[in-house]
Amino acid sequence: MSPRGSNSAVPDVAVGLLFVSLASLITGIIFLVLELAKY
Amino acid sequence: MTFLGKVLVVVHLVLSVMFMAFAGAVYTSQTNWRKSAETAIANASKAKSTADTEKAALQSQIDDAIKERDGLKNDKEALAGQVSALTADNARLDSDNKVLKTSFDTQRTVAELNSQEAEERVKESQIQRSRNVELNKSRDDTVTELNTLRDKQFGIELQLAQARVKNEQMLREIATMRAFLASNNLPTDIRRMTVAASPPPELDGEVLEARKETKGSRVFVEISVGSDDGLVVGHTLTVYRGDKYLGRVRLEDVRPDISVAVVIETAPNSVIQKDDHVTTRF
Repeated sequence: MSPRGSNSAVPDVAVGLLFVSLASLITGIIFLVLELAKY
Repeated sequence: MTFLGKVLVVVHLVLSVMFMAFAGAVYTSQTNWRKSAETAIANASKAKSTADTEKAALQSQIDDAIKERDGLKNDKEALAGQVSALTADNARLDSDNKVLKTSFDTQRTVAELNSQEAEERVKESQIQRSRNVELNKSRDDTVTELNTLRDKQFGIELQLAQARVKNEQMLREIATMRAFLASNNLPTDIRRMTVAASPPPELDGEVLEARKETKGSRVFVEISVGSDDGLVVGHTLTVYRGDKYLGRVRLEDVRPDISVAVVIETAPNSVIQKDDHVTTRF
């Protein structure tokens, strides 16, 4: 764990999980758009 | 990051993954309802048009059926009339059939009788044929016998001709002899000649019956002697009763045991009766 106020940010696991969550949301949205595009 | 922040991150992650999975599942397996609706609409319109066509066809069929029903009604009425006419014809034909059946029975009976008559005629013909054969045979025999008899007849006729010639010759000789006898005062009657040639034997008899001739005056007597005793026609017998002479009789018909004689001489005041005696001794 990096000390607070330091210039070099060290990403932790939670951030990575947040990115994965975002990617999942974007993928689900794409699926829904593709499905709605049929109508 | 606090612990709560980490928990919320994890929850956020889980929900995001679930959302993605749900969206993917919908994308991959969800039915295209619009296309289905269009397809269903097209099918419905097609089915409607088909139904309209079939409806029109059925309507036309209904019209045809109605027309046909009307025609059938008319036909039914016509057929009912024909049925009544045919019923009447049937009744008439039944009566004709009964008459014809009766006539048929009669004709069959007549035919059977004719058949029996024909059989009897055949039998009669066979009998007549056999009789004809027998008659032909008998005719042949008769013809043969007739020829034989004709031959005999010819011989007999020949003998008859010879006998006639001989008879004429003998008649001439007899006439010559009678003339010769007459010229010498001898009897020419054959009875007198027979009596002269054979005088009656000595015998006695009785008068069985004496009867006077119905038309005439001659008296006939029946006596109990005849040809068995040697008498012939022409012989004369003396009739007596006891010692009394009654007369003489001459035989006219001689039978074996009796004779009939005619009275040729009667004593005065005497009548020949039954049970008088006759004799040739005097």
